[in-house]
Amino acid sequence: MKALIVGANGNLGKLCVLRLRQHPGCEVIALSRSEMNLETDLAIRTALDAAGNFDLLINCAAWTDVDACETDPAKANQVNGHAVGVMAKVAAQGGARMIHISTDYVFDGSQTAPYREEDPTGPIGAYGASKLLGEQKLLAASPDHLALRVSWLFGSAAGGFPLWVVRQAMKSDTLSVVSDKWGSPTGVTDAAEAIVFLAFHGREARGVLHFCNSGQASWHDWGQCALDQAVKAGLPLKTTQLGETTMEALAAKAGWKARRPIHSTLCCDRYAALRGEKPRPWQDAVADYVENDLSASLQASEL
Amino acid sequence: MVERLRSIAIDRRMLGPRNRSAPQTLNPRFSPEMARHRYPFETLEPKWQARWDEEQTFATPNPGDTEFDASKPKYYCLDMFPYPSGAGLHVGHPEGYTATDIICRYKRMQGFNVLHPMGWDAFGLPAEQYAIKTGQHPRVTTEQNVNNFRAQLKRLGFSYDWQREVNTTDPDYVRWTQWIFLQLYHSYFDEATQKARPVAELVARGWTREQIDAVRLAFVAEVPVNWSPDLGTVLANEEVEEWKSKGNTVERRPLRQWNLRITAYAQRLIDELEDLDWPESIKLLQRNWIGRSEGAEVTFIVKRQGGRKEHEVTAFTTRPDTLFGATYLVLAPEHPLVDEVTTQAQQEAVAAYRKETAAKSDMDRTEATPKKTGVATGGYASNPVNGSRIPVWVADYVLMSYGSGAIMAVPAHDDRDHAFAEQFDLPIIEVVQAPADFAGKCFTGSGVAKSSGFLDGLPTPKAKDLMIAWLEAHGKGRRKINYKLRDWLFSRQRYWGEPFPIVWKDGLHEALRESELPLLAPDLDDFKPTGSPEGPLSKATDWIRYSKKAKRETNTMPQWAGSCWYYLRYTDARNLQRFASKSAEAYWMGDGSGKSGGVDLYVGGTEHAVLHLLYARFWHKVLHDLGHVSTREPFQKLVNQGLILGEDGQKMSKSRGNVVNPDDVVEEFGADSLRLFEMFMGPLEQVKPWSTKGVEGVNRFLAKVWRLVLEEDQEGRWIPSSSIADVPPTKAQLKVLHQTIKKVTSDIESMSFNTAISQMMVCTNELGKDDPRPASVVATLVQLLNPFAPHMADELNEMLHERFGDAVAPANLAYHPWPKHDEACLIEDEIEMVVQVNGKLRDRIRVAPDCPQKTCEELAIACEGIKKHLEGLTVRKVIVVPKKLVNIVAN
Repeated sequence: MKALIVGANGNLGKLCVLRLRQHPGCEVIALSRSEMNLETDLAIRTALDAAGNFDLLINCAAWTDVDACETDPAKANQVNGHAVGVMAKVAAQGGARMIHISTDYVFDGSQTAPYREEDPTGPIGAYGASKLLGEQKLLAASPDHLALRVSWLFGSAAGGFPLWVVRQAMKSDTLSVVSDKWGSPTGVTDAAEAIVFLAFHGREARGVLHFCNSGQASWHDWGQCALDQAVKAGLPLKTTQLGETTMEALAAKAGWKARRPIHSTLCCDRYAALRGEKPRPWQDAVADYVENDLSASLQASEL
Repeated sequence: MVERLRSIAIDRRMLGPRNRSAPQTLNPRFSPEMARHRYPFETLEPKWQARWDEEQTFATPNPGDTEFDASKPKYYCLDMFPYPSGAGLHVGHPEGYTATDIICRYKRMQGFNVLHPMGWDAFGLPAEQYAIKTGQHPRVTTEQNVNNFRAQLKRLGFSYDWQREVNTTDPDYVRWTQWIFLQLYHSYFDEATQKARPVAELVARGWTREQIDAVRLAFVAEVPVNWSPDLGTVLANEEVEEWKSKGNTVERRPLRQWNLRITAYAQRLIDELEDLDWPESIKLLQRNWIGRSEGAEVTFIVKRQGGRKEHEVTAFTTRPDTLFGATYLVLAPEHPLVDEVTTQAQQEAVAAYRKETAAKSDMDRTEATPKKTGVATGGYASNPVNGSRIPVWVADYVLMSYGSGAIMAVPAHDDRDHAFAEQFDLPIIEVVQAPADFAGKCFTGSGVAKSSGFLDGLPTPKAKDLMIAWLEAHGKGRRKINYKLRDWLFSRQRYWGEPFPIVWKDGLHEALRESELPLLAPDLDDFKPTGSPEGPLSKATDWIRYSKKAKRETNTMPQWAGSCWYYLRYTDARNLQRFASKSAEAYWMGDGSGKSGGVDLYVGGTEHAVLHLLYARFWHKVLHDLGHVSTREPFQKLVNQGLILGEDGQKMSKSRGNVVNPDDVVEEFGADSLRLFEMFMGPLEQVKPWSTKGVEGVNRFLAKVWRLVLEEDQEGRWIPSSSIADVPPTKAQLKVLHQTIKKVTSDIESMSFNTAISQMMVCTNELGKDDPRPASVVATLVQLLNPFAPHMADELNEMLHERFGDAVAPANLAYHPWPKHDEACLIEDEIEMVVQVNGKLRDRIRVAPDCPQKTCEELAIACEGIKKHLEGLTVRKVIVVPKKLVNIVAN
């Protein structure tokens, strides 16, 4: 099988490249931002053309800066929406399947129960709207394509929220994080593993599919879990207990431009049925990350 | 597949050292992708490259343009432009290019109008050989390669003014290369003024066509040339070694060829090196290449054994004082008198020898090989000073193109003559007394003349002068200065070069009119050399036919032509009326400071010491003599970058597999890291090995600077660090900052980039310890970093500007004034003094440098570490050595 990975230099894309290359018989072509500019359709077509024939296209590229999307929705729609459509069409015309990574931000966040694939979408910001546009363009190009919605990615090279919490806790005595925003943290290694599974085995998966680690958390739960693990690992923390704050307060302090959904836990029953088992709890993924990868991230970012 | 292997190799490399350095408390299951996320260079570098392109940040106006600021001084900084090969950029290119880019970015911040251009030396054999193989027109290959090179250079963030890009193969460029050739064709060298003058002056004086053709600076001559049947072209002497080492055969053959009279400028090319700021080694190479020697031309009368007819042969010698020791005469095999002096008996041997010689190059013939070859002609010469009869030989160690093609052999005092005489058993007569301690067989130094009639007892210099005076008085010779430099063979039998703007009519050459330029080569289906001196253009029969009677010249110019004047074109690259407007040329090349050269800084490799750098100086002088350019030299200051070796310390080559591709380095570590590392490897001029660990090191340093200024927020976005605040700096912070400004500034001026980077590392480490960090101090450090790592500096500066405004960080970094250091900030405001009790070191105190003696005493006695040592004792005396120590004497 020949797989093309777009966004191959990103946190998730890099891992996908690495994992797929470990599969015998799988040829991987990695396209990073410098090799494929998503802002013009012509550049996308040229880059895909140059890559030749392929069986699978995995798109991990996106413009994820939620606030920046809010100020430049045209660019957001191009990169997260129209560009996906172009890739999806080229793939469909060449008889290839496409797995496109989407987001929990397509929902408005008003539903307290975990969101199922068929629940109505309703993005409340430009980022979510552009990602939803991408899903629509993807499935319009071919019903065989797959939009994989993931939420709250963390871990690996970029580290993400747990790394941020630990680093802050090493620097300051008090630290407060938001306790009124809910969702499902997802380890990026878990997500990459799921993508590899879907690439080889879950071929019947098409349309929309949710993937995240099991369980629900607030940012506060998530961060506290990371801190608890850091204590176990013997990291020199200045504080081990997180204070609480609200989304409203943080939005004002950090100058947020975009609204974020309050509840965005995803229901992974469909994925679990395909796979035969549920994804592991998010707490395990956090523990795994702190135990195995966080030290290297800290080291890479040490001053 | 290749891609895949490469990535595995890199992974393993990065895995090793990382694993070892990870803290033991954690289980480091280090994944290679981790280390690469030190900071997001992969997004910020393309962002700034696109912005510099869009905003034309580095476009440089010329005098007369609306944006031109005449109040600023100019600075013209030039890179040796590359040949755009199919292989793309190698890591050697960015070394010199980064050095000049640092200088240029720095000079812009210093308030200079900076000219920093780039272009392509795009004619050449590789594109033509590819065309021969594939049938694809060299123009197509060249364009692809140029596009690739340009993209690669842009990815490294060099601040070139791309509007001035030149390509030596563009018709608009070829036109002016041909125009300059016509300047040479229409000029002669006037010995009286030592300058080129138009031949029109000679026409006015009534000179004949033949006489004029004999003095043109571009002239046709039948000369023995280096002909390569494999390449189907002739080669310049300077090029022979390179192509032979690539496995091509090269032989000598007489051909009618275009030549440029560079020898006329030999003396000026030596003398005018004087005022240039060039490395002494390069000046020396040029002087040796030109090879000036003073001596005498001696006239010998030669005739065939038993013959009656006498002929005159002049031989050049640097040692006329040894004329009494001349025991035979040697003619070059090509010498026209060889046939005249050869006897019947020797004819066969001489003919065979001449044939054998034809296969050798000048280099082969003059190499100091132990075995000399030669044949006696059977002719004899008479030594003009004593009338003795000496034999005439033919030998290939004498070159027809050097001097007059004949030498007088003094085997007692010349190594080659000595070897030859021993081999052929010719007489050796000592005429210079060697020093008593001389142990060799052949004394070639200066001594005292002996067995030399009227010269006996004279030291060598005096003997030389007296002999020359004697020769001149008796009409048997004259003082002569000789040069090794040959005229520049300018014809090539190739397709992919500039055609000569020349037609032939009735066996005579004629220049095209300027209005007929550019003359472009016709399209061909087959680019193969013809294997004949006519070259591939001879196949284009329609093109050759200029008129009923006239045919075009079918040779083309060598690759050196385009690179002889590209630096002039940059000053006004889009001009259609002139090679460059007078005002632009005068401004950028102008010598406001009274210097002789135009380009303020020229950086490139040493391999061009005697080729490009000599040819360009020659053309420039001709153009200067004719009033077309304003300086007599093209390049005031020259700096050579050192070679970059492979990681194994060997020269990089495909066969060794140690070639580092800059694209891979950029992909993995970013352009700023590549730039910084190439400058951090060591002094620019030094030869140094590549080190991947070293790139990682500078990458880590850049990540430190990044995190000095920015931090990630909860959603992973980079925002100004909470540790940075608009607070006044401490004395310690000011001190390290101003030390850094001072050092970086003086190090850039002296091109000691590696030590400038070290100082920025020191500064970053110091500031990293502080919380809060003053925004103004951090912003200044970013400005210092800008010439070295411009992408990161622009990004950090933008963030600081958004957060803190103009007062801290400027909106535009590229033209922001360079920071100045304040000497007052460097002064130590506290010094350390040692405190002793009865001569033993017990403690230290910190005091102001001008602290009064009395206060020092009090502080010393009062400090904690001393109190316990004084318990129960009475202080008898306190001795203070100012700024050093306090000794308390107690019992």
